[in-house]
Amino acid sequence: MTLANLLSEDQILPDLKAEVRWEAISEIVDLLVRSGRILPGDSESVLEAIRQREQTMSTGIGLGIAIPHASSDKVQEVVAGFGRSKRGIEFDSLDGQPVSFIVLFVVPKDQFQTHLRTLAAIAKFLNDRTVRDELSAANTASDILGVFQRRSP
Amino acid sequence: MASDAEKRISEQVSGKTFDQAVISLDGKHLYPVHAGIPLLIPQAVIDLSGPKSTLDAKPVDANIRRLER
Repeated sequence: MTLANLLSEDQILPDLKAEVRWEAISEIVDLLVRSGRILPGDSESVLEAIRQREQTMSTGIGLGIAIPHASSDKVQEVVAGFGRSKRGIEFDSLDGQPVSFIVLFVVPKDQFQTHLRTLAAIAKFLNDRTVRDELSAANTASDILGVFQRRSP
Repeated sequence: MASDAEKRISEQVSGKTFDQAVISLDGKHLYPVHAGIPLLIPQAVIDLSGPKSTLDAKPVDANIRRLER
């Protein structure tokens, strides 16, 4: 499984409207509902799992990156969404700076190894400045998906 | 002097064995892994081959420091 395999164009928001962390997370979860990756009736449960994780410690790790994540029995495989903000989102990040790139993912319950490896792969991918520059310059969801396909492990 | 978070990690890992470790996002520190919600955003995951290794907690990185807040 590669990161690019986790995403398709309908799981990418090139211009998040949200200005703060919780709105941004909801916006991406809503996208995953619209794209059929999360059932409408399960969205609140998934959101709550992500909120609980965020309340423990923000996943805004600096460099304009946030990786909200959780495990849930509402998904049968890893589900991910990507959002980019041109204005930046207040995320209570490690470096205090606004977040521009959010990769949100949900892993089936009891798949701890998958959870950990997905988290590591996303962090490593977004730590690459070239990747961040290309994601910033991309115009459309298709362009963003292209960056994942070219650059992700 | 060790921080509270560092002491907690030391207590959790002292004398135990682990199947995996993670490299911290800054690439400087190694932490053992056990089941639960990953609090640390890792740069990479390492499978500990051969006999299970006993790891000592390393100095805390920025992510762990936030546990203290």
